[in-house]
Amino acid sequence: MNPGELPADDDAFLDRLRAVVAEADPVPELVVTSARAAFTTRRLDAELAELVLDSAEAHTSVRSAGADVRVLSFEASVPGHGEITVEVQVQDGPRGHELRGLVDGALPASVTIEFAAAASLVVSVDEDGWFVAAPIPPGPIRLRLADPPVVTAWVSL
Amino acid sequence: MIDDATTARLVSAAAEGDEASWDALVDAFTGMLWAIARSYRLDPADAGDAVQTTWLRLVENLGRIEDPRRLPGWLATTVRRECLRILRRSGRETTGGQDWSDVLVADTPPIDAALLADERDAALWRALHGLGQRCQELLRVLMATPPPSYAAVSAALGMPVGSIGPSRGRCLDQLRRIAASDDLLGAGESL
Repeated sequence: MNPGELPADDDAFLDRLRAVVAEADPVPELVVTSARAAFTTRRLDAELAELVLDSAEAHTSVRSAGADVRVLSFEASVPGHGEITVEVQVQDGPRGHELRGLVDGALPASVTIEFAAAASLVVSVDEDGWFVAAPIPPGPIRLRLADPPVVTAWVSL
Repeated sequence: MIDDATTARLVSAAAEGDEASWDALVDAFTGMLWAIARSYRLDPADAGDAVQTTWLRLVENLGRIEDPRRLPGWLATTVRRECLRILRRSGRETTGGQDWSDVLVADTPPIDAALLADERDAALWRALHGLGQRCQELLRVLMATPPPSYAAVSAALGMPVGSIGPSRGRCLDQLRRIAASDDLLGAGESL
């Protein structure tokens, strides 16, 4: 490209680039509609369990502990109930992610896995607090316990 | 672009449950978030996940935002962290401490260039991907639709307002040089 064709003025050049990007890489409509729909996931009554550990974010020493396993740890402090933790191991399976989790500090009968698109999946929790869910498609999920009402932060798998 | 006072009003109204205010926030900042995610060379599906996770995180934190002027910075930090997680998980990560700008420089021209009928636009789009990550991110954010205010760019990229203009100039100069060499290499195949 002959540089003489490019606007010498920075503002004009940026306008030209804005037009190129608007054509080559516009924000997909689905991204905007999903962002709007996110508002319906407002947490009205449940306590938030914060993400306190994500091995995908931690340093290499933690990550090397398990080869292809991602470890997530959530913690909630529920008034009148105390600390509740949910630990989840995420592994890639043939048809999607496989979740293996442990609830500590409460013993709900089930855990609900919520997807951003208003869908959800209920899995039972055994007497020791363990649960398994698979296959889970890629994208954001959170986990919900009914009693006491706790919902985890969103994580993208 | 909306100013700080409007952002503050929209955040508190959305926290009270006003959906129209939420939509206005989405319309104001999704372009910026998409620009950041794409500057990390995430494909559209991964970039979409990173942006959506960012908005979901904002929903769960709506009631806890003390200073709405920091919203652009919070959104940008959140989407950037999601991008890095996705890059790590997909094996495109680096061993710690390396400068991302070295790692993420384009090695292959983006497929999207094929969408541009105008050969000169396609060459510009390719040239943009030849910039380091910091320059790509700054220019992509400045080019976002709607264009963010300098205050928002400053908060989002952690850069003083006064240095945005000079940095922009340096990045655009780099881009001019890359675009010029496109023709020398014959990659542009201009008619």
